[in-house]
Amino acid sequence: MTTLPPDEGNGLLLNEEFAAFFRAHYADVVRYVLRRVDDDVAEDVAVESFVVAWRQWADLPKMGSDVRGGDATRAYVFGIARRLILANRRESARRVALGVRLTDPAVLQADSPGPEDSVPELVDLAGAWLRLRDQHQEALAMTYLDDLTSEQAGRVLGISAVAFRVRLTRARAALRAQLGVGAGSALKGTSSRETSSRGLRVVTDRSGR
Amino acid sequence: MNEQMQDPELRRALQRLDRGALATIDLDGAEAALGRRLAGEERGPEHRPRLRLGRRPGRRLGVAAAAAAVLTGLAVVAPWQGAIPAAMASWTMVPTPISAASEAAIAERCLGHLAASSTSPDGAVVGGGHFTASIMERRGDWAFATMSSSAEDVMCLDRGDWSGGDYRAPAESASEWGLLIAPTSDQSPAPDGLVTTGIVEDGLESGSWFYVMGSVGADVTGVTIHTGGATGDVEATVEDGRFAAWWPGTKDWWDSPRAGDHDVTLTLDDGRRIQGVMSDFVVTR
Repeated sequence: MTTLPPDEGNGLLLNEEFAAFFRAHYADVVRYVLRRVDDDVAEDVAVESFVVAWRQWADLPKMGSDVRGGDATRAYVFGIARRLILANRRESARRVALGVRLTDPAVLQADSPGPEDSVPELVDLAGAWLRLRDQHQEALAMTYLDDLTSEQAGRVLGISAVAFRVRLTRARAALRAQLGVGAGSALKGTSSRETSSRGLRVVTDRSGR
Repeated sequence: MNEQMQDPELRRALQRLDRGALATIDLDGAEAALGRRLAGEERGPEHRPRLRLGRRPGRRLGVAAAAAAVLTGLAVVAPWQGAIPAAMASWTMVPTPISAASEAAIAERCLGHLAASSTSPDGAVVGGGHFTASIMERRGDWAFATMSSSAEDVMCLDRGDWSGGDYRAPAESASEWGLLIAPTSDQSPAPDGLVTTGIVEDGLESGSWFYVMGSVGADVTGVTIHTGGATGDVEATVEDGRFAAWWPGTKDWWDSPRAGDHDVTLTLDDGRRIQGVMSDFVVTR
């Protein structure tokens, strides 16, 4: 068990709580970071994220009733990690969205794909992914890889759940467009590039073009 | 990739390509590293990520939903510096007053677009019931309208034929329009604030356009979005507690990622001005 410095507020109990929290979520935080940075710094960023979380630990209950437990806490540390990565990059790149990298499908081909896997389709997907804007990659990754709810993802990004759903809807539309989806709309004279009953819907007319 | 790819398939495919799954976790080693860090063992500065947790100074304008507990320090504004697409070259920072006849024609046209678009190939239907047009404005050759139902807001951009002075639908060959349908916010603005789901960028054939709509508090008489670059300071239309504006993006918008922050100035009825930041898709502080 990690020996943590004493906490002035709740003493040993809080330390044990934090240690359990660390053990429960460290792997997820490393994976979150690894999707966004080079391998050789991923663990450094992950550990540093928990250092920051520790500094703010005593204040976490003030931020929301569920912040110090379960998935909400995990999302909170994701948010710290995200800001650390952005802060590190800010001198060289002015970015407000973190691009997410996928594995080279060629690596998968060398492995033993499962019976349901289609490497050519994964190659298409990987290619389409590379053409996405960082913001779209980030929204998709937070949902499908980081496994965050819209509320949690919004918390990581500092936006509302509604705003994140809008962002996700657009990201899905962008990915589908990059995959060649969206042509042949049944709408005469229009291209309905995205539909969603819960989010944003865009219709643009291209007649006469 | 299959065009009918659904969420579970996308999730599974992305997880097959997940770099995070390749991670080998040394939990004991990480615990030791954390312990050393917390015990005050300093690493070299070259290894220490710099942390910026400060919130951007400025007054809160309002948020579309529950306030986020952790706000990103998005202090960097990267206004678009590209040229306005040629088809939108006539766009103006301040809307041009239009006649009641033009307003009626624009409303009819956009409601027609909405009706024609109410069913999509996958069966989704605009679900908000009866829509009522609210703000209508002209910027150059383009008409812009907002429409709302009890559940959804719609923004409509339509290239018009203004040769007779009033708006007319253009010839089919010149027709170009876009709709954006978004859930209505259930938040109410403070008297000196606004509520919006944020600034959204979307593309027409001619290039992209940014648009924003929402509600303003009772004391707000003006909303100015400082977009930077060629589009400068965009004066929104404010009417009956609502506001809306649009401005051109760029021709090659799809491949041109950019920051989404825009500084915003609210003008109040007592002459005061409030500065804030409106982000892509969301208002922050």
